[in-house]
Amino acid sequence: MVRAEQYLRPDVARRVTRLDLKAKFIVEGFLAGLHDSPYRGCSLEFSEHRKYVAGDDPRWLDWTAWAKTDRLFVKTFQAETNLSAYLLVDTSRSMGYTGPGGGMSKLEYATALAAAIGYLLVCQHDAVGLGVLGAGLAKLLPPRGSRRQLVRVLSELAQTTAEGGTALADGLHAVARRAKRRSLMMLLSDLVDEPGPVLEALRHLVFRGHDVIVFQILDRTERDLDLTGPVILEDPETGARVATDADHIRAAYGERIASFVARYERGVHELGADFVAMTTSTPFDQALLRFLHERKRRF
Amino acid sequence: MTFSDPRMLVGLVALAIPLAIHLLGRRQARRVILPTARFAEGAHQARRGLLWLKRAGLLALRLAAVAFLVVALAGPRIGGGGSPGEAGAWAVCLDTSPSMATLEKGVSRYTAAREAALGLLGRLGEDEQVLLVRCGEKALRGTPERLRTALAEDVPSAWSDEAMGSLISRAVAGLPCSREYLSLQGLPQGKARLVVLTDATPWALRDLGAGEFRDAPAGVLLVPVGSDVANAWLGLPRVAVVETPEGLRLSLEVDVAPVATATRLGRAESARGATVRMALDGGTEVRTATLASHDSPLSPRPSGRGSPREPIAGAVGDIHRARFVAALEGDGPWQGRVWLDGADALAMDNERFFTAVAPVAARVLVVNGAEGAEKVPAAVHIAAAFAGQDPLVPKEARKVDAGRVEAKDLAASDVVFWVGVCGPSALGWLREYVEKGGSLVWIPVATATRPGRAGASGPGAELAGLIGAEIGDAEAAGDGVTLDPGGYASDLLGAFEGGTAADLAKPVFRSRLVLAAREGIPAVRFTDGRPAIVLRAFGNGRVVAFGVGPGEEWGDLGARPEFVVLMHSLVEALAPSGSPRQANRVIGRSGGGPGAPGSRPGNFSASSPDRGRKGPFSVNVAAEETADLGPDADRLASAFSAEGARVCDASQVLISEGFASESASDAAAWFILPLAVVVLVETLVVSGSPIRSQGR
Repeated sequence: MVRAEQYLRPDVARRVTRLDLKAKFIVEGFLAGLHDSPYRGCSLEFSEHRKYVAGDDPRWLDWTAWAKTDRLFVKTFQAETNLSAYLLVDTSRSMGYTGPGGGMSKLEYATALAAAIGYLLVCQHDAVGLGVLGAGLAKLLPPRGSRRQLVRVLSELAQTTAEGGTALADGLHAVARRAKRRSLMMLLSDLVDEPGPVLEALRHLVFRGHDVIVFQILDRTERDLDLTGPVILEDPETGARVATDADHIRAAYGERIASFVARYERGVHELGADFVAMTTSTPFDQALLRFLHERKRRF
Repeated sequence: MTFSDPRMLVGLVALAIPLAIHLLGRRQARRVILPTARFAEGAHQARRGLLWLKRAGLLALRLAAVAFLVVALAGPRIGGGGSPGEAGAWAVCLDTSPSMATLEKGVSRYTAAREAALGLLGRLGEDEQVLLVRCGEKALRGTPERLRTALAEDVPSAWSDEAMGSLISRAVAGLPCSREYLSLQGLPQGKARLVVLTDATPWALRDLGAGEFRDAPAGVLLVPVGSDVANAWLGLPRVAVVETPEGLRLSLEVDVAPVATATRLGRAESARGATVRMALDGGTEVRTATLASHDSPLSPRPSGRGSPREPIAGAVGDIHRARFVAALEGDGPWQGRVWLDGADALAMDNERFFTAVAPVAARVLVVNGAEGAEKVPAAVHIAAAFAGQDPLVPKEARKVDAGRVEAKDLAASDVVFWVGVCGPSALGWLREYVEKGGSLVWIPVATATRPGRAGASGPGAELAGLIGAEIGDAEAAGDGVTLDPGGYASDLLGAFEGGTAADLAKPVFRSRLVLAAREGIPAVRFTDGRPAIVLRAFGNGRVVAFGVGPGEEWGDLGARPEFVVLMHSLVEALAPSGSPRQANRVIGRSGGGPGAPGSRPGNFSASSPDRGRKGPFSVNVAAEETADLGPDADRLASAFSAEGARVCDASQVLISEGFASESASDAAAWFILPLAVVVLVETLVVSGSPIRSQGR
C-alpha cells in the first residue's frame, strides 16, 4: 500500500490518472509530512460557530444548531483568508516533452503540481484561478474560493495539451491586464523562450501589485543532456536540428543551460519574485513548501 | 628496416576495421526530440573543431594501433643493411653441387640453403648491391628484391660439378666493391660481404686451398647446410686376384646405390654421371667406371618370377655395379681404395679400402670343428681369406661335423686350419698328418674350446699336447691389449717383416685364450707378454696355435685387412714351396657369412645376389679408421682470413658484429611500446566520454 508521502514522488503520483485524486493525494501526502502544520485537515467543514450578526451570509447559518439552541449561529472555518492565487500553466509544445527515461512530461508535472496547489488553496479557503498559457493567454479563470472553482480548475487542467508555440510574454501581459485583484501569480513553465520578454511580462505583473512565484520545470535530459554518442537533436517547436556528439558537447551544453536558468533566476529575483528551478523528477513537496513559505510571508 | 616474417604484413588489411568503425559510427546517430536543442547548437558550434579533432585523433590512434601490432608481428629488424647513402655490396654463393640434393628430414640441402639466402635477401635494403652466384651458372646482379624473386622462382634443372673454390673466385671477382673502390669512394672497409651457403663436402671443397681468399675485400659469412649423411651408398668391393697367362690381374666389383635425393630431380639423378674410381696404393693410375642410368643398371635384374632381389641395407632405388680389372705387379698383398665420385660423395661410406691377395701356392683345408652357431663365422672368415676365382665349396656344403673329415682330406692338404675342438679320431689323424710333414693351424672357438693341461686327460689335453701349449680358459683381454710388434721375428710373419701398412699392432682384443707354451714357442705375444700365437715343430711338420679367433667375441682381428695378410703369411711360411696352386676347399657348414655384403667391413665371403655362388671376398678397413670425410666447415673457413670469416647456422642468418654497419636487431619491441601507449591514450580518450546504454 502506498503511503501518503509517497505521492509526493512524481513517479508514484503519475499512477493516479484522475487529476483531482492526484492533487488530493499529493496534498495529503504533503500535509502528512508536515510536523507543525497549521493546515491540518484540509477540509471544507467548519471548525467553530459564532453568533449571527446582520450582514452575514445566510448560507452559512447552522440550522441544526438553531434547532438545538434556538439561537442563530454562523459556521466559520479554520482560517479565513483573502489569498487569491492564479495558477499560470504553460501549455506550449515544449511542455509536452518527456525524457528518454520515461516519467512525467513537463505538462503532466505542471498540471499535477498546479492541481495540488489549487487543492491546497481551496482547502485553506483561498481563491484559486487558472491561466492557460500557450501562444498567448488561452484561458483565464478568475480566482474563486469554492469547491466548485476547484473542480473547474482541475477540469481545465485535465484537458490541457501541449501544443502550439511558446509566447509566454504575451500570455503574461494578458493576465496582467485582466487580473483585477492583487493575487499570487504562480507560473509553471519551462521558460524555454527569450528571457527578456518573459521577464518584462513578469515585471508587468509585479508592477500590477501581484506576487510572483516562477516554477521552472525542465526534464533532466534537458538540464543534463544525459545522452550518449552521436545524436541529432530536434527542437519540437521550431523543427531545428543539431547533429552532434552528446558526449562531446555535454559540458558546454550544461554551461549554457545553467547560464540560461541563472539569467531567469537573477531576473526574477530582481523583480522581488521567487524562482524555483525543478525537474520532472523533483518531489512535489519542494514546490509546495515554497508556495507555503510565500503564502506565509504574505499573510 | 627488414622483416623476419614479411608475410605477416598482409595483416595491414586490418586497417580497414577502424576505418569501417569510423565511417559506420557516424551514420548511426539517432534522432532525439529536445526542446532545449538551441543550447546544444551553441555548444556544438563551440566544440565543433574539437569534435573533429577527437574523431580524427581516435581514428589515427586506432589505425596506428593496428599498424604497430602488424609490424611487430612481422618481426622488424633494423640495421645490418647499412643506411641510405652508405649501402653495401653483397655476393651470395649458393652451392648447387649434387650433394645438395640430399634430403634431410624431407628437405633438400639446396632448399635449406635457398631459404637461408632468401631470408638474407629479405633483410637487405633496396639500395644494397647484390651478386648471386650459383655453381655452373652465370652470376645474377641486382637489387635484393629482384634477386629474391629470381631465386624463389628458379630451381636448378641440373646439379653442377663446379667446386666451391671456383665459385667463390667468381663471386669475389664480381663483388661490386673492391678495396680500391671502397677507398676511392671513401667508404669504410668491410662494407662488402661474401656469403657462402654450402654443405662443404670434401668434393665440393676439393679445389679450395688454405688462405686462398685471405685478401678478399669482404667480410665473410659461411653458412654450412646439411649433416654428414651420404647421398649415395657405396658397397664393399669384392676383390679377387686372378692368375692369367699375362700375369696377375685384380678383379674388383662394387655396388653403388643412391640413398636420398631431391624429389624434383629424381633419385637416380644424383647417381647419373657419377663415377666409381679405384686406385692401388703406390700406383699412379686411377681407374674409372661410369655408372649407367637407372633405367639400365649394370646390376642384372632378377629374372623370372619369384626371384627376389637381394636387398642392400641403406640402399634406395636401383643398384649399380662397377667393375674394375687392373694388372698387378709383384707378389702382393696389394691395397687400394675405391670411392664414389661425381655424385659429390662424402663421408666414409663413400670410400672403401681393400686388400687384395694372390691365391696361395698351397693346398689349404679349413675344417669347421666348432659347435653351435659360432663355428660358421670363424671358418668362413678363414676360408674367405683364401678365396679365389674358383668356387670355394661344392654346391652342396657338407655339414659341420669334424667327424666327417677323413684322413685322405688331410693328406691332400698342405696346410690345415682346424677351427674349434678335435675329436679323438681327428686328433689321431692330425698327429699323424703333422708328423709326416703337414702343417696345422689351430683356431680356438671361445665357447667350445676345452682346456687342456699337462697331466690331464681328454681331448683338450691331447690337443694341448699336440700344439705344445697348455690351453687355459678364455679371459677378458685388458684395455689396449694388442699384438707386440717385437715378436715379428718368426717366419710366420714374414709379410709383416720390417713393418708394412697392414700392421699387426692395430687389432684390438676383447678376450683371449690363456696359452702357456710348453713344447712350443710364442711366435707372437700380446703387449702384456702373454703368448698370442704359439709355434711348435712336431715331427716333420709344424703346429701353430692361436690364442684368439677371427670372430667378434675375440676382437676385431678378423675384420681387419691384416688378418688376410696374416693368413697368407702363415700359409706361405708353412706350406712347402713349389706346390701347384689348387682351389681351396672348406669342409663343414658354409653360410652367408657374418652378414650380407656391404653390411659391414671385414673379411667375409660373399654370394652373388642372383646365383647364390660364393664369390670373392673383400677386405676393408674398419669404418672408424677411415679418414674423416664429413662436411668440413673449418676447411672452408681456412680459405679466408682468420678474423674475417664467421661460420653461422643456416637456420638463422645473422650479420656478424665484425661488419661495418650495426647488426640487425630485433625491433619488434620498438613497436610494442608505442602500441601500448596508443591503446592507453585511446582508452583515456574514450573513457573521458562515458559509454552508456544505447537506449538513452
